This record gives sequence, structure tokens and C-alpha cells, in this order.
Amino acid sequence: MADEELRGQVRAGNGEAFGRLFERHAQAVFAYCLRRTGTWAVAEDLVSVVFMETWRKRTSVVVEGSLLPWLYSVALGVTRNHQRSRTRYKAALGKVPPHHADDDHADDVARRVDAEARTRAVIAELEKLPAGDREVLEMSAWSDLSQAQIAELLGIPVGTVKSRLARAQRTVRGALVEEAL
Amino acid sequence: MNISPDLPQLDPMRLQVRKDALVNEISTKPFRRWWRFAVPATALVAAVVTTLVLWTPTNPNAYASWTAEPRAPGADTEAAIADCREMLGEHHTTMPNAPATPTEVSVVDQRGSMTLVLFTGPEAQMECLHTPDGHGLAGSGTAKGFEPLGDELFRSFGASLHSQRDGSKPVRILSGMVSPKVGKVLIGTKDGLKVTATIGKGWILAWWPSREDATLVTLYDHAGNVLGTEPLPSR
Repeated sequence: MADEELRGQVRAGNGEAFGRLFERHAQAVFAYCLRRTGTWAVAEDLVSVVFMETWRKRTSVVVEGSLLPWLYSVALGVTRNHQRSRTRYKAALGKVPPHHADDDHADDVARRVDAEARTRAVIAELEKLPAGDREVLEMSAWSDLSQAQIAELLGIPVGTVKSRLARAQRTVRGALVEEAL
Repeated sequence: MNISPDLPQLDPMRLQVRKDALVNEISTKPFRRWWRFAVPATALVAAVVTTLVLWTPTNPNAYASWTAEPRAPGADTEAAIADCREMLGEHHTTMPNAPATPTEVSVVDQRGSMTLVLFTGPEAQMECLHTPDGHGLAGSGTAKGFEPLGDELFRSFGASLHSQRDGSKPVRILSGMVSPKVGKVLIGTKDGLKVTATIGKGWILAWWPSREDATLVTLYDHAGNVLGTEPLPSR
């Protein structure tokens, strides 16, 4: 069943149809949130927030085609909010040791820690970019959205997406050269 | 720098837990809103997840009529099992690697007007809560399959906690695997309750009307001698 058909049922309040949309898109939203936050547990929580927000707006927002672009736009918003609150409490959070999933199997812990380390290294590099450039680059690299779709969900012209993307890619390529040296 | 390193996916079991919690949260059906699943996700044991089709009794007597000792099966038992079977047949998930739904009735625990039916299978267990006014399912499982009990006398993942949306009428449900050597299991809770579990086909089942977790089980042989005590994991 296509997203549009399921969304029709969701608009009518069908929780089971919403569950199927969750099953279909949760992994993509999780990967995006993990890449944006660098923390496994936070990303997992934010997936729930993204879908709760999507449910809340099920009757007021009309989306054509796949639901994924809309989910990415909500994910961008909730990760932005998360980062803002994290910045606000950064001094206190800095004193907290990194979370390790000690209730899990060793293999899973290693897998998560490794993924977090990789995403945090990327985040550290991307934080050097202006926020607007960074969001365009992330959306372009981590989703299958076209430049027109990115422009629409960020509320900017396609030309701006192109120029921001080109600038961000130049900067990141610079980092790659420095790394190679 | 590769800004898109490969990332592992979220475990399908965890995804299922999230989905069930989400669907339960958004459900507008009163019977799904009446009680809620209250075990924190972080407290779940790895590879063991709880899936839940929520409901629980709208009849307050089911809560009030609880007894520490289970009662003998009555005229209502078969009908309760049949209702539970029907509901289990309707339970399905489209998640990949989800544990197979259990079908064997291993234990029927009856206290007051509440009947608990434990369905077991190689990969999952499901508890059906049944009263004259309604019924619901709770359960856990792992696609890797349950490890056999071996030489152990008892094994449990701990008591799950359920309550109404506002937190009132909390209920703990405990199930676990038990050796054929064990003839009686007495559960001790933090708030001092002593609950006798119902045993059947290598499993135990009990519930009690409290938020407080179980701390210890005392195991007796068929002659009534104490075989030992086992601490219980907290959930």
C-alpha cells in the first residue's frame, strides 16, 4: 500500500496505518537523527518525537507522494531543538560522562559506540560550516531528496540550495585534503 | 572526510517496541488508553522486547478481587482461554525478524475475576489478561529463541508493570521458566506481598495489584521442601 493511501487512513485516525508508516520510514529517520546528534539513545528518542509530531499534524498538513521528505523536515526541526537545548546546558552536560548502553550485549555496545564515534567526528567537522550551509549539505548527503525538495522543506529558493551546497562541499573537501596531509 | 559513514540500523526489536508504544499512545480507542505500558525502554533486556496490545479490565472488581493464592479453574476458564486465543489470532506484526507468536497454553492463573493465560512458543511468550468485561495482551520474545533452562531451577526477565493512564491501579505481571523439580513458587515483593504463582508446562505465572516489583522467589519441591531462593531482575 502506498504512503498516500496509508496517510488517508491516518488522517481518519487509523493508528494501525500509522504504525505501518512508522515501520516503513523509522530506520531512515533514525539514521538522519543519529547523524545529526551523534548519540544513539537520543536519536532513538527523537524518532518517536518525529512521528508523534507527524501524527499531531496529520489533519493540518497535506503531503503529496512519499511521506519521507515531510519526516525529514520534522526531524530537522526536532534535532535543531535538541541541539539548542543541548547548547543551553552544554556546560553541565560536559561534565556528564558519555552514555554507554550497559544494559545491552557487548557486541551491540561496541557497534553503537563505534557508530557514535564516527558520527561525532563528522558532526565536529560539519559544525565548522555556517548553519544554513550545513543543513543543506546534510539533507543532500543523508536523504534521497532532490534539490527542489530540499529547497521546499527548508523554505529557500533552489538557487540558494545550490550555492550553499557548493560552498559547503568546498569546505568539506578542504577538510579531506587536510586529513590526507 | 566521508560525511556519510555506514551506520548500523536500529534493532528491529527496538523498533517494534517504539512502534507499539507510539501506536498505543496515539490510539483513540478507550480500551487501549485505559491502561498503559509503563516499563521504561532502557530497562528492557537486550534482545528481549515487550510487545503490547493494550487493554485491561474496565471492571474495578478485577483489581479488587485479587487473591495471593490462585483459585482453581472454574466454569469461566475455557471461555476465557477461547477469547484469548481469538485475540492472539488477531495479533500480528509486519516487522522483520519479529518473534513468532506463541500458541501453546502453558499456564492459566485465576485470581478473583481476572484470568491470566500464558501462551508460550520457542521465540516468545504472551500473557492474555481476561475479565468478564474485556481482555488484552502483553508479551516478550526474542527472534533468537529462548535458551533452554538446563540445570537452572528458575529463570525470569522480571515483572512487567502496567497501570491506568493516570498511573492508578498499577499491576505487576510475572512469568518465567521453571524446572519440573519445582512444585511451588512463592514470590516476595518490595511491599511485602507473598504471592503464590501458578505453574504449568515448565512455566510460572502470577500478578499482583501493586506498583512494587518482585524481589525474590522461593522455590519448593513437590513435597513442600525449600529448594532455594532466587533474586529477580528489576524492570
